[in-house]
Amino acid sequence: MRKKLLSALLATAMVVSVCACGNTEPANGSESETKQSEVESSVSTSQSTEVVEENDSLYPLVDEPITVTGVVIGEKEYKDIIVWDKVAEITGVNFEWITVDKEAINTFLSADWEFDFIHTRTLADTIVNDYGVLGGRFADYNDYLELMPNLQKTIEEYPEAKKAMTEINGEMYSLPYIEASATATQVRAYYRTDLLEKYDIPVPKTTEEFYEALKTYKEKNGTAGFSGASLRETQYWGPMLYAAFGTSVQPDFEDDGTGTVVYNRTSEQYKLYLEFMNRLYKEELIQQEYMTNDINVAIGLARSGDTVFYADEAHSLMPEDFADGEMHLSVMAPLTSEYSDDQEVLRQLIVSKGGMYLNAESENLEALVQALDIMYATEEVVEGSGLHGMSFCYGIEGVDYIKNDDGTYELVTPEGFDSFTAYQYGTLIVNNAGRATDLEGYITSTPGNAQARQIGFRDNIFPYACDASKVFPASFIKFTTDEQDVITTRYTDIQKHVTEMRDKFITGIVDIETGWDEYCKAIETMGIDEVLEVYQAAYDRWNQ
Amino acid sequence: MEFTRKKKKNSAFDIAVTVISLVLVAAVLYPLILVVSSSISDPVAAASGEVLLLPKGFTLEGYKRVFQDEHIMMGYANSLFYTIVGTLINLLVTIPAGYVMTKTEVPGTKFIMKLFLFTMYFSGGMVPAFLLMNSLGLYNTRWVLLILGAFSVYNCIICRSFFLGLPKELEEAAYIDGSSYIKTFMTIILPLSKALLGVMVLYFAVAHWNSYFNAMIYTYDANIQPLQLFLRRILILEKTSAEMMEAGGDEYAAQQQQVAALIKYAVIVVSSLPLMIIYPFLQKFFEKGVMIGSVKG
Repeated sequence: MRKKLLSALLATAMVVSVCACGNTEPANGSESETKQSEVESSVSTSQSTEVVEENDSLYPLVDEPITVTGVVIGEKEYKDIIVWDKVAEITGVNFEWITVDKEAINTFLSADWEFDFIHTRTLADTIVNDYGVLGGRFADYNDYLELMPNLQKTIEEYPEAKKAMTEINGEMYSLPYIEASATATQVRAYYRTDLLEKYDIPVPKTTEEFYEALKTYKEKNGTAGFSGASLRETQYWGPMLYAAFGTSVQPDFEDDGTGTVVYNRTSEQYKLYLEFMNRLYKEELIQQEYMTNDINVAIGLARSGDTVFYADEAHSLMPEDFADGEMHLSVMAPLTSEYSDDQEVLRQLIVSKGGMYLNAESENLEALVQALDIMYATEEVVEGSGLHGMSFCYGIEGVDYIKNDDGTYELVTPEGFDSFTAYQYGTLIVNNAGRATDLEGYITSTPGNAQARQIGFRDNIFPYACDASKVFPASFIKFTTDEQDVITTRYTDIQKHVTEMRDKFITGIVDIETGWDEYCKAIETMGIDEVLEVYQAAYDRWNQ
Repeated sequence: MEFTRKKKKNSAFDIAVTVISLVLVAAVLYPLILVVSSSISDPVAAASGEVLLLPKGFTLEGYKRVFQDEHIMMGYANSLFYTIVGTLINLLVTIPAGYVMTKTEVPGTKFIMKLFLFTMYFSGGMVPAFLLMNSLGLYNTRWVLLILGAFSVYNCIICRSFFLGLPKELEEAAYIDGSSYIKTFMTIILPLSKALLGVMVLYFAVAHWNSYFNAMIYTYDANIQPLQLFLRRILILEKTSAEMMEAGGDEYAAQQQQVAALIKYAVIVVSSLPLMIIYPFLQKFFEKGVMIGSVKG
C-alpha cells in the first residue's frame, strides 16, 4: 500500500513539475519581447504608416493582410522573427514558420503541400531535381522577375548569381545568397600567437618552416601542435596546404586554364601534399587521433595549449581562455614551398544558394515574391524602416548593427542574450538570406574572437585569394538526368575511395611511394574518365 | 565427507557467479555514473575525456538550460502523454487479442493467427505506411504516434501463451454459472494475469518512451513531438557543423556546438529519469512475468 502511494506521489510530482516548471521564455530570449518592442518603438508604427502612405504605390502589397507559411529544415522552432515581422508590417504579408527535421523532409514533401515556400538554403539537389525539374512543383522565379526589381538589379551586378541558380531546364527555383564580409573565406589557417611567441617560433611562411615550427613546438611543449581536427580539402587547412605544392588551388575538379576540366586527386601536386601530411603524422607533429577527435576534444586541446594550429575549434576560443584575458588568435598567410612560390589560394565565391523555393500552387505567389524582393534592396525600402537586404543577415541598421566611418561595424546584442549570434539566429532572422554586401571591407569594432579572425583574413588571406574566374563552380553546374546517373554510380564510389586512401596515405597505413600508382589505377578503373566527360559537358554549358 | 566436497564445489561456483555478476553490474553501472557525472561537469572537460568517474568543474548550467527550454519541457509532457495513453491503447488491443487466440473453438482463429504471424516477417515498408497514414489524415497528428504500432503480434503471442497456461476449469466453471466470454475475461482471467499485465506495461511503456523515429517521420509540429526527438537533435547537432556553416556562418556553428555540448548529458539524465524511477515498482511483476512468453505456440 505504501509503495503504491509513493509511486502515485512520484508520478504526480513528475507530471506537475512538467506542467508547471516549463519556463516559457527560452534562455537566450527572455528579453526578446522587450527587444522587439524596442525595435518597434525606434521605428514607430505611426512613422512607418505615414511613410507607407507616401509610398502607397508599392506598400502594402495586399489590400487585406495575408499569411504565408515558410518551411525551415532544421531543429529549432521559429516564431515572431523580428526582421520577418518588420516585412509583414510594411508589406501586409505575414510569415509563419514550420520546422521539419532533415531526416523527415522527404516524407514531408511527399505529403500534401500546405506551405508557400521553403526557406532553407541547403535543400538537396535531388529534391530540387525531383520536385522542380521533373515534378514542376516549384515556381520559376523567371516568371516573376518583373515584380522583383531589386533582384533584377542584383543579377545585373552579379550575373553569375542567375547562372548559379538556373537549373538544367532553364528555370530558377531558388534565390541567390550574396555575402561579402570579413569572414567570407573557406581558407582558414588559425593559430595562437601567444604560444608561438612563448617558444620563440616565427610564423611559418613556407611548408618547411611550418614543419620546423611544429617540430620545435613538440620538443618544447611535448605535444603535437597541429590539431588537424578539420582536414577537409574544401575548407580550413586543406586548400591552403594543397595550394602550397603547385599552381592548382582546388584538389577536386578544376579548369586547367584552357577550359578543360581536370581531376586533381591523382595529380603530382596532390601527391606532394599527401607526402607532406604523412611526414607530419609519422613524426607525431599532428594529433594522432585527428580523424576521430570530435570538436569538443579539439576545443579542449586548443584551450589547454596542447595544439597551436587550428581549424574550426578556433571559433570557440574566447579572451578568457588566454592567460592575460586578451585574444591571441591570428590567421596564417598561404605558404610556399620548393615546388611553388605562388601564394594564391582558393577564393570563396560571394554567391551561393539562398533557398526560398516557392510552391507553384501557392495562392500568394505575387505578393510573396514582392516581399522576398526586399532581401535584395540596397537601400531601405521604406524610409525610416531600416529594412533592406542587409537586414536578412544582420537585422535593422542603426539598431542591430552600426556601420562606423572608420571601417568598423558593431553588432548590438540585446539584454538577455549571451551573444549576437544567439540573438541573430532564431529571434532576429531565420537564416542568412538575400544580399549582405554592405559590410565588405569592414571589421567588427568589438575586440574578441571575431575581430581577431577578421583582421587575420583581411591581412593574410584576402590579398592572396585567387580570381573568382579561377574557382571551379562545382556546386553550381547542372547535370542532365543521364549525367546525374553517371555521377551517382561512378563518382560517389570514387569519392569514398579517395577519402579512404587520403587517410591511409596520411597515417602511413599505405605507403605513398608504393601505393600511389595502384591508387591512380583504381580511380581510373572506377570510371573517372566518364565522370570527367560529364563534368566537362556541364562546364561547357555553364560557360556558354 | 561427501557433504564437505559438495559445499566446496558450490562455493567455487558461487564465487564465479558473484564475480561475473559484479563485472556485469560494473559494466552497466559505470556508463550511468559517467553520464550523471558528465552532466554536472564542465562540457569541455567531459568531451575531452577528463571525466572518468567523478565530475570535473562542477556546473548545473546544463540542467538550468534544459529546464528553461520550453521545447524540452514540452517534449517531456508529450512523451509522458504518449507513454501513458499509448500503453493503455496497446494493452486494450493486445491483451484481448491474445485471449481470443486461445479460443480455438471460435472459427477463424487459426487463420487469423497465421495472418498475424505473417506480418511479423513481412511488412509493406515505410513508404506504404506513410501513404496510409497520410490518406487517413493522421499525418502530423498525435494519433499517428498512438495508433501506428498499437498492436504488437509478438506481445500478443506472449499473452496467448500465458492465457493457455491458466486452468481451463476456472473458465468452465464461470460459463456454467452463466458468465459470458467478456465477463469471464474481465472478472476471472485479468485478475489472474497481474504478472502478464506488469510485463506488458513495462514493454509498451519503454517502447513508447524511447521511440523517436515515428515522430520524426510522421510529425513536424514541435508541439506534439516527444522528448527523444529533441534529444536526438541535440546529440546530432555537433555533427552538422558543416551545414550550419553554410546556413549561418562559423559563429552560428560554434554557438550551436557549444549549446549541444552543454546540455546533451543533462538531457540524457532528464529523459531517462522517469523510467528509472518507475522500474523498481514494476520489478516484482517483471521478475515473475519475464519468462511467461518463453514457450510459445
